[in-house]
Amino acid sequence: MKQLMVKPEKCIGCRTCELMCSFGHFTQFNPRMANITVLEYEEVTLAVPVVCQQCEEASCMKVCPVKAISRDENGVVSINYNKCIVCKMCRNACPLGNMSYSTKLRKVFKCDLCGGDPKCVRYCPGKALTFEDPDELDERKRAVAAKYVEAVGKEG
Amino acid sequence: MTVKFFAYLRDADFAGCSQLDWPAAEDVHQLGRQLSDRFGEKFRGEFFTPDGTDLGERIIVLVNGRRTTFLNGAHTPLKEDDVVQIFPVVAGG
Amino acid sequence: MYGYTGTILRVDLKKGTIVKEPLNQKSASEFVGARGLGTKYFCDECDPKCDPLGPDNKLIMMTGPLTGTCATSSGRYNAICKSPLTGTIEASNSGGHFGPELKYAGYDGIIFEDVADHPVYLYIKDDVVELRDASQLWGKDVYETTDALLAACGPDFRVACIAPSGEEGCLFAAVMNDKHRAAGRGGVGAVMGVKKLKAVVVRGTGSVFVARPEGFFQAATDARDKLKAHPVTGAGLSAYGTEILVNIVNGVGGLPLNNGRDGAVFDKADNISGESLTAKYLLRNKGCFGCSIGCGRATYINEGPFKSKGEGPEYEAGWSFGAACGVDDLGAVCNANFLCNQYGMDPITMGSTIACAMELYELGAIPESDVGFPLRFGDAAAMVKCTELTAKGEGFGKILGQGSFRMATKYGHPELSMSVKKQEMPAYDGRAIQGIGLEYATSNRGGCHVRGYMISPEVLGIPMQLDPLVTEGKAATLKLFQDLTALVDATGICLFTTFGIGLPEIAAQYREAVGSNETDEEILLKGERIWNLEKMFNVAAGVEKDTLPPRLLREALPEGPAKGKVNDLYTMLNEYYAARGWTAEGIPTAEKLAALSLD
Repeated sequence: MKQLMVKPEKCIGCRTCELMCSFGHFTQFNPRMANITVLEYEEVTLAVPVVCQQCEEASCMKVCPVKAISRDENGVVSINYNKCIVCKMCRNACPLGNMSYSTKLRKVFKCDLCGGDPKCVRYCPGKALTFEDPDELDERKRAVAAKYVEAVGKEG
Repeated sequence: MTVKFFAYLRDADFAGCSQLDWPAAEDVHQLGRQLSDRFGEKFRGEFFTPDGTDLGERIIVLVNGRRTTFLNGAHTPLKEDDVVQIFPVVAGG
Repeated sequence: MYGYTGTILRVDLKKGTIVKEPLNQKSASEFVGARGLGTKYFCDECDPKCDPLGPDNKLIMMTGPLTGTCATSSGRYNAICKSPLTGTIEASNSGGHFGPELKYAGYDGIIFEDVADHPVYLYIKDDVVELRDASQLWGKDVYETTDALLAACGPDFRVACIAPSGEEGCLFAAVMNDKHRAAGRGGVGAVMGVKKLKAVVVRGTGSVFVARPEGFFQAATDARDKLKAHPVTGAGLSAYGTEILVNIVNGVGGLPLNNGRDGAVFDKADNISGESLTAKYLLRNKGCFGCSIGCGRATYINEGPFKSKGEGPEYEAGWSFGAACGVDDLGAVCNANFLCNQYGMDPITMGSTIACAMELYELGAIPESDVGFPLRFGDAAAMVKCTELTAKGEGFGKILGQGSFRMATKYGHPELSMSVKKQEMPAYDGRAIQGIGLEYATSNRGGCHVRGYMISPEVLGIPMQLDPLVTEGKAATLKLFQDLTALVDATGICLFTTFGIGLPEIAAQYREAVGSNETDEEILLKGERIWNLEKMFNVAAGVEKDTLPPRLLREALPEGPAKGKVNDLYTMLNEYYAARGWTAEGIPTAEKLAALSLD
């Protein structure tokens, strides 16, 4: 199962991910209806996208009183809206704040990885969001290694 | 003549410098071939069209401040005291 | 209504009343939005002869139908009023996140009327809209004001505000939003200041809907893919920012040096280039809302006398504080630009006015006692000091704050102001690049490059190559560019997208968003309609005729590839008026106005 990776150092703060997410799920443009949110820290010039990490020990899943939240075959923690009673306990339980509730939709919602092709990743202009196989090497590891090559790896 | 490079063409995998004194070349096409021989295939791919006959679409070459399009294209002749400036296609405003 | 929210806020600052009125759908259909729709409202409601700094001038903030959608670079809004700098119509365009937030709150735009009797700010949280006291904020700069309002209203609000420059009547005061983005040109901040309107804060939790979601998403992603594939919008602009232009414009001999007095080739240009900025001071790229390009720069001068932090500079500011003043200290250029952001001023007019003052000083026309220190070309510290004085409205800064035309007139040399219709021309010399000279002369808001960016074909070769030294073909191309630019500005997306996409992609996004079945040509005609509407306002306002400073018409360039050249304006101007279907004096004819439904 691929993992949605967030690399804040590459984020340009454009919030395209929020737009693509709200449109993909609700056919309207509204950052408050997105499963991903970019927080900007102007004083340190950093923007951080925050999104569900599909926890292995998912608090939302554990706390749900009607077992509406489960892990599907792709590893995605997903909500069964036929069972959901919108008690919002999952929203209370998520330590990362990644379960959202919309007063307009009157429902809870979270990242579902767009069924395996996350739109936020596809349209991220800075490549701050990637969708990677955790068994493959993190590119940042290669970047660190490359610095050593540059420093001490010259011929002779 | 003086050859100047700009933007990413200054990076190590292209020219690796911003300016060079270059002995001589008959025209822009020959200069491009000479520079490509020195800097490698990545530079050649940027400088020329794939068939090597014309200047690539991703670069702008100025000879003494005039774009080659308004001179003699790839066959714009070069003299010893010419200044050739090579830019990738850029924009801004 | 699709693309639009369907509601306009009308705020009477004197009475303190706020009315939510339905959007005029006929106007929206004919003038699209933002620059076009705002100008239409303005022209319908304001006397062209009104005093720009009086109670009858209105200030309109307007978004477009694509603002806040996933159309790429959809973070724009326009501030529209009669400009106190030029006396022309002004539509000042800004990015960031403010415009989209206004739409999510449920409003396409805000019309501010009359003047308040004490400082106020407008608070908008969805349906809750109220005028609040801003006495405690008066006198605070952009950063202080924004931080104070975010602390008072909430961290997710978006703030557009003015600094003391706007409060004190600096004629090129900007309206700043999201701290670093500016509705920069034409002194819209001064109009806001006269109204005693310190800020607008907004948070919206609603949605923007489009008419044909599937078709729209297709059109928007098609445009995004094209922008990503283009070397400029996909790589160059994000890697180096707009400052990348310094070397190439200097390369073609078109970078005005020392107020244009000493030609347009700067031998130290590379010191203030995008390459140098990236290597020395770049912290991070920044993108406005929904932008796939990301040309914004967060920058940090970590050492020396100009140690400071902020955003930018853009190419224009790099030139105005750099080559125009003969300065090659990039730290100083950045510092001056940061001051413009913090104190809400247009860096093009600021730098060009300092350059003009330097020439007047060297000529002996400005006595040192007026300035307080020597003011020679190349003096980086003096340049920054002038910016600081203007920002704070102190000493010689009061004179600089009136712009170069009024300053140069005061000292007896109006011809040394490098301005058109009293607004300073940007960073390209009209002698080396003929078409941009025509563009400056005919711009509906005075000296400006973003009304029909002729640099694109004349220097960059996008979308076609035109020889910068000749006049042929410039008039017709400029007309097309002006009309297309008016359309782009009206839709609410960024002009920079046009480096990678054109009319077909823009028209497709517009059609799918609003649910129109008009052809590309019919949609482009809306751009021409906007242009003619602006022109008619200027005609009625009695704005001076289209021309250039005498320097560009008579003083030949001393060196470089354009050596010996002046701008051959009048050859191009006749062709231009003919291409526009205007009279030989440059007035839209009755037939033309009828054809555009403007009669």
